Amino acid sequence: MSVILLSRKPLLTRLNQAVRSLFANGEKGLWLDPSDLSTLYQDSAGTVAVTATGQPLGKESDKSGRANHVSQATAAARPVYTEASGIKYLAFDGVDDGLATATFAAGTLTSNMDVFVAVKRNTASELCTIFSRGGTSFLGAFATAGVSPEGAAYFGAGAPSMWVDGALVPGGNSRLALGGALTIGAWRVVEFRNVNLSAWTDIGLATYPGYRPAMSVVGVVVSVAQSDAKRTQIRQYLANKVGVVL
Amino acid sequence: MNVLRTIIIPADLVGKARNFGETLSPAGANMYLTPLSPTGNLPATHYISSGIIGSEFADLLPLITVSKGAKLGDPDIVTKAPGKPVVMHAAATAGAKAQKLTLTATEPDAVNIMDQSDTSGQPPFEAMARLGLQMLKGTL
Repeated sequence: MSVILLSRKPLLTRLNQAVRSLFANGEKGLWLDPSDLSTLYQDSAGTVAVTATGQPLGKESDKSGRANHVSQATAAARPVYTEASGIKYLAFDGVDDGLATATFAAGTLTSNMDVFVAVKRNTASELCTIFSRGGTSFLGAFATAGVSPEGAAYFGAGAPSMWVDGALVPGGNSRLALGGALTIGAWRVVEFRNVNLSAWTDIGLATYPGYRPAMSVVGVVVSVAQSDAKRTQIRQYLANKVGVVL
Repeated sequence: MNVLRTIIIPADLVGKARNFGETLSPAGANMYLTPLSPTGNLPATHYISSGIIGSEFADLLPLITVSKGAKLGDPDIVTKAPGKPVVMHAAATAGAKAQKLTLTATEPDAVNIMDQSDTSGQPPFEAMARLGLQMLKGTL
């Protein structure tokens, strides 16, 4: 009997290259990849490398080439780099953990962008948002039916749509709809398409005060709006990291 | 070495605790910003910080340890090892000088904070549940 070993490497390499190509010509955006330890540091200055599971994440370098690195200066507010079941991710405690880019000028990001994140919701938190700009704008607010008040998942201009694992979230741009699609304890690839981020002056991950999710994050890609074919590649890239079958 | 610490401070002492945090180290600035109360509604009675901190800071703090009772159904056993308020105040004094910050919190403040705060190695939601506290609700 012969055994044929099929390597996932060519596919992963191809998907990695697909994400890299989003930024090949200086396009705006952000690419966070916690599985790449060369981009992770325990301190916010970026001097002490992350080398093992359980260490705090004080800075993560942006792989897009746009230098939108994210960091957290307060030691107790740093998420934790974690490896479990073959998945490498950042664990946010839902209390005070968060990461943000440095402030940039309004207009740095455009009025038509796509935002992708592979995320696992860890608790039935009442009301949270994944992304935010300071304590004002937010993107990816999700809520729990019967517990939280309803509202929009996105604050700001534009007409974004929300997709989870490649399917349009039913119920429109609503917190309860997104909360319903984010099964607690399950990895999901979330997309926000055609988002207007032109007024944003930083990108925060779990930084909106009082609404920080207890979540795990395996990757973030923010790019100018893409074709459906490119979106499929980005989604597949993130899904592969967490074993989600699309 | 880094350790997980969940620190819950009574609201009336939070200003002093923040002052100690920022003067001890730049990485101790902006702690205790998440408000708590027994009902989840205003007013905040406590503030929390939770995460991995350096042992040089953790070793100054008291430590509450929670262990299971001897038999099933027995209450948890909660013990508290004392902190080092004199050492913490001295370290904060040196840190304030090095960073050109002002330390207004006093040594008696350090004693008060250590007496009345709850510092443990528990994950934050376990520590909050033990104390009957929850994060404040709001409207996004």
